[in-house]
Parts: sequence; structure tokens; C-alpha cells
Amino acid sequence: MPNAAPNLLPDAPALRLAGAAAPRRPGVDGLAGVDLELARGDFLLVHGEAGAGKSLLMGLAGLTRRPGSGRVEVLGLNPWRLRPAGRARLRRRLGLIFQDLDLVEDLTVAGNAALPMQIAGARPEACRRDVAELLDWMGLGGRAEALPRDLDHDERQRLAVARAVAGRPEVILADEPVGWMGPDAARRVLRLLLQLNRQGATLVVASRNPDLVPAPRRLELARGRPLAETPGEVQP
Amino acid sequence: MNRRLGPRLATVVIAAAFTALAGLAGLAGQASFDRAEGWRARLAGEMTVALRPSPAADADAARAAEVLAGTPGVAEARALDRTKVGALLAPWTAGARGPDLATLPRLIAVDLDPRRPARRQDLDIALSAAGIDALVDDHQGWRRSALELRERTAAPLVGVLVLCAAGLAAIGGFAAGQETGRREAGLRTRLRLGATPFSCLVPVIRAMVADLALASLAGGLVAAGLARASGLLSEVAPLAQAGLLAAVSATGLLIAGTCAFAIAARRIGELES
Repeated sequence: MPNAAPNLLPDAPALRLAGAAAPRRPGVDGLAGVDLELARGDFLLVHGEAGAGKSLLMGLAGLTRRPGSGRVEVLGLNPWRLRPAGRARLRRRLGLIFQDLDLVEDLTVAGNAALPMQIAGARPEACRRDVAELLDWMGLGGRAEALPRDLDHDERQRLAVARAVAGRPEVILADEPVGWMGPDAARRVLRLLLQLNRQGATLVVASRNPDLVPAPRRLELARGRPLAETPGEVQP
Repeated sequence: MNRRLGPRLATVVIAAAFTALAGLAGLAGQASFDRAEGWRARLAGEMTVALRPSPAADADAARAAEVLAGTPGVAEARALDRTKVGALLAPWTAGARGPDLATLPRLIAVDLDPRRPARRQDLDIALSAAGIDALVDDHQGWRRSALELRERTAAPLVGVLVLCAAGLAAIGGFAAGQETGRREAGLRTRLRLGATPFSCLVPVIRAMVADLALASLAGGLVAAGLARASGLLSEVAPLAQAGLLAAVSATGLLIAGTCAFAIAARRIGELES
């Protein structure tokens, strides 16, 4: 599966935030003063209590939220200086797992999973083949024609993960990717994410659980402020 | 993607009503324009010569008609008989018992040669040379009245057309806002996954244009049916009616579609950024 856009700046960091801040709502403080640089292939676990600002950070990195101040660069580009079409091309290089899942309710499971590839212009047969393989791997092979509302939360979350990784993104941003899953499914999903990271994708996982997965880099957030980044465990 | 029937139907009905109203206003305007133009052209091709009442008026009228008929630029000149003159002037001269025909001027209707029409001065000169005391009316006043009538009719019709255009713009914008709102979650997800705003706009506009085109067609047909049933617009040729209604419907569709496009593009732009 090809990526949506050619890698124009191969040496640029995958993600760079400099003094980035994002209000929770207009006039309400959210996240402030985040400085972060991730090289290609890095893996960062962001953890903190509920309301610490993890989702705001993921929103800034995933281009779903415009920074109130500071600077955000993704794959060497300042997305908010690009035209909408350029920003769209950049978004195709990201794989997002939203906390609210953001499934398209009137598309089938297969349709949801295929969406990033369709948007990137992949051929329909390639789409069908890859989606079938991916859904099988995620344990959703038998539900390909179901609608998201017919899935339980565990299945919905697996579908969100499948959709995020379907386009072989260069950067994967996973906000509580296994929060509602049973232990087996969670292990399987985390294994998939780590495998993609080993293959070169930059991975950022946000979770309330600091022990969710061993990560070489860890960043704790508290009340919207980053605490000192700590080195984590090296993957086996 | 299933769409709710109620809002769609409301959009189609309201847009069709505005289109039909605009079509009727257009037809009425065309009919009134054609009628006024017809009057003006007819009046421009004629002049009226009035002889003062006198005992020898009948003989003078016959002589004047002869003189005028021989004047270059005149196709035909005929003296109107007293009864016809009485009927023509009745609105201005009739008392309770009708006009006294003996006191009425004698009128001569002059048809001008359409290729090289005579001027008023030409008739004056010809009549003076023949020693006939007469007043030549070249119908300037009547022609001015026809033009004024046309202008007076045009103003309210233009008002109705502007109202319809505003209504169609509003319904197009409103429907696009509703449709974008209904699809908001799906659009936001697609944008987050890297779809361009334009690619998200296309299905919204396609759905809108299908409804608005249906409304435009229905409105045009309703206007045609009403115009035919009323019989008031019979002087507009059927082909011209069809052309006019097609133009009005297409313009209405363009206005509503443009507004729908603008509103949907703005909403999707807001979702994207």
C-alpha cells in the first residue's frame, strides 16, 4: 500500500512542537508550553490523568486542532501555513485513532476501513484485498458488511485502529487505542502498532495507563503542562 | 446515503414556487412589453389629420384625403365617417346624450409607407399647399404613453423577479446549510483522514443540485400551465414562452446553486480548519 504523498523532506523530524498551546475551549486553558521533537520511527507514550491534555496534544499533532500559540510541524511542514489541499495531503500521511473513534455511521465496516485508501486514490481491487486482510487480522472479517452501530464498543475500537493503519501512515497517533478492548484484542492491537513502528512508522500512543506498553520515550502531562520527558524501556 | 424526505421536499416545493412566480413574472413582462411595442410600432406607422368642423367639412375631408394619398411617404389616406369619429372621440366629448356629430372635427387616418415614411412636416406642407386648414397628429404623445406604460409595468415585475432571486438564493443557502449539518460528522471524519474540502463538497452539491434542478423544472412547468390556463398571456408565442421559462428556470437554478455552493464551501472550510 503506497503512502498518500511522496516523502519530500526525508530528514525532517516526524513531529515537532515548539511552545505549542491549545485552549480546551475559547478562553479555557488546556495545554500549554509543549516542546517535543520526534524523529522518524520514534515511539512515544504520552500519559497522564484524565484532563491532563493528552487528547489536546494528539489533536495538535493530528491536525484536528489548530494551536492557539506556538508552532507545530508535521513531517517537516507547518500544516497551518499550507493551503487546505496541501493540509489534506499531509493528513493522508497520518493515521489517527481518535478517542471518540469518529466512525462514519452510514458506511459499512469495510467502507470505514477502506476510507483512507479511497481518499488517497488507491485502486478499488487493492482496497478490497487489503481491507479484507486487515479486517481478518483485527478479528472483524465476519463483520465487513455490518454498520458501525451493529458493533460493540470493542469491535468499534478495533475498526478505528484498522482504519488508522490501513493507509500505511508514516505517523500513527493513537489516543487511548485499547481503552475499551478486552485483554486479547488489546494485546493484538498493541502488537500491530509496535510492528508498524518497527517497520518505520512514528508512533505516539496516549493513555491514562503509564504501563500500557513499554515505550522508549515517555512524556507525562499534568494539568495541561508537560513534566520532564523520561526515557522509557527499549522494545524487546 | 439516505436523506430525510421532509426537508428535501420542502426545499423542492419552495424553490419550485419561487421559480414558478419568477416564470409568471417573466411571461407577464414579456407580454406587456410585446403589447406596448406593438402599440408603439402601430402608432409610429400612422398619423391622424383633423379638420376643423365646418359646413363643407365632408368635401374638405375628401379633398384632404386625396391630397394626402398623393404625398410621398404615404401608403393610404382615408377620411373617417362622422359616426366612427363620434365613437372614437366619445370618451372625451360625450355628454349624457352622446356627442353632437355636427360639431366634431373630421378625421383622416393616414397609413405611412413603411419603407420611406413621410414626416409630419411633409403632411403639413402638402395640406398648406392645397389650402386645407388641418392639424396633423404624428402620435408622439400616444407613443410616449405606450413607453411610459411599458416602464410602469416593468418596475413591479423587476421587483417580483428580484424577490424570487432573493428567495431562491435563501432557499439554496438554507438547504446547503441543512445538508452540510446533516453530514457534518461524516464530513469531519473524511477531512481528518485527508479528504480535500473540494472532494467533500462535491457530494453535498450534487445532492443539492439534483433537488434544485427538480424544483426548477417543476416551477417552469407550473408557470407554463398557469400561463396557458389563464389565457392572459396568449399573445406571447409558445416557443418564446418556452424559451423564456427555460431561461428563468435556469437562472433560478444558477442563483440557488451558487448560494448552495457558497454556503456549503464555507461550512466545510470551517470544519477543515
